[in-house]
Amino acid sequence: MQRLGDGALRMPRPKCDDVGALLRVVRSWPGVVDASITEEWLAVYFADDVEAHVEPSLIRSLDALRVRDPRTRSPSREIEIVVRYDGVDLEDVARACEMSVDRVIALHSSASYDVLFLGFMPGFAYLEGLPPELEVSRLPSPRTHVPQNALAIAGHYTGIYPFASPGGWRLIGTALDVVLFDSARGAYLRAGDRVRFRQAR
Amino acid sequence: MIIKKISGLATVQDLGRVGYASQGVPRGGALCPVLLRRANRAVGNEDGAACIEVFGRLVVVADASVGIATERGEVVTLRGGEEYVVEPDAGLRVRYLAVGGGVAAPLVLGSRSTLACLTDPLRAGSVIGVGSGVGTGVGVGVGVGVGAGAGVGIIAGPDAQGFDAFVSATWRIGAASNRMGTRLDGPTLARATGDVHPSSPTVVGAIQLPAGGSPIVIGPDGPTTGGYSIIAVIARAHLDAFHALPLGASIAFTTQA
Repeated sequence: MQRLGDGALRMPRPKCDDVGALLRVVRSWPGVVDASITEEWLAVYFADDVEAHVEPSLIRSLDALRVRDPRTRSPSREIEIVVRYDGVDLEDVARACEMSVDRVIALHSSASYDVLFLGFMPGFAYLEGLPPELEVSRLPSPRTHVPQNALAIAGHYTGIYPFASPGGWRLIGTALDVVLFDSARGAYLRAGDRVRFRQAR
Repeated sequence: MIIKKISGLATVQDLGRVGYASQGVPRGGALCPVLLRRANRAVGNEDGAACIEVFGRLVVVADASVGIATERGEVVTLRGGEEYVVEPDAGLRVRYLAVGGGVAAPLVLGSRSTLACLTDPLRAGSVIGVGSGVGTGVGVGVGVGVGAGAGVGIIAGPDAQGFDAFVSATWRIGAASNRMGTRLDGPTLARATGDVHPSSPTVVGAIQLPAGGSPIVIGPDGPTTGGYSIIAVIARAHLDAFHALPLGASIAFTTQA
């Protein structure tokens, strides 16, 4: 357990396959108003007037989540997103991976991905499950403009930019007919969802 | 009320949205909540009513009679057609304009604060609706000092390498600062060895050390996760004072347990 100042704590992300339940449990801890996860960390945020502290027994109680419990498990959704593989970096990625563009597309669209966490910007999901042959580095310096709904890869992740923004991932396509963040319901993808990409015809 | 002119940045802010960090949604809300509260109390609003947050200079014109106040606490009643100017304050990075009843921006995930990627900032011609809260207009007449005192307290972060060098240096609030982050100008700190960190949750007030060596303090619109070292975090009691410092101000940090 490490302090992030006097209002937040972080701990290694518990090995738990039901992230929705994990977030619900830690948000119910005394004084906790929010929680956030990444691939390696879980952070809890406390109300403004509450000193950051979690009883060790509560942390130990997370061990119970390692076993799937059908009563607390939020349904893991299977989501298909239609994409057009038209990203400006597609040919560079093919060259870097020493394969044809068609092979990049075939590999990327045949894998299935798990939403590990969201961060960077509202609704931006880090998807795990990229075939290792497609692992490429980030751009040496980020682009100033990545278009909305750009499909991208970097390291062992793939993801879609919910909004136009600067960004350093390699752009391989465009997600079609999907709103990744909206003002009423928030993020479309949630940690724990499973995602597949289907190439637009 | 209508925005007549903006030189700088003006957005609608309240106390932010809490509960959406795991969706990548920053907390948002006023850069200096204590100043927002002060403006709200002056016009008789609830503490967290939405206000206009102003970096720079703002001119508004009333389209009907309305009570307004800034963080200075004096209430002014504008009649239809009357203008009001929020001038930059040399002692404050940011100012707040409250209207009696609160600013009636749409509620998005529990907050009326502008969610940067979803909504544009205010611009000339923007119409500011007035909310249904009761504005009773009792001036509070308080000073604007936000009390940094001897220094801004910081707590060592999980990547504390470089902390001693950081805390012993004097810094200035960098000109490139915005609501996402405050840049600190000063000595270039030696980078921690091999400091490629896996992405970690951040927090408002976290002092990150990116590759360039110039620290950035995460602001209310900053990303919820990041891969830079977190060398320290500003104590919550000192965050308002820190964020109130004008660009170019010098600042010293003190270690807090």
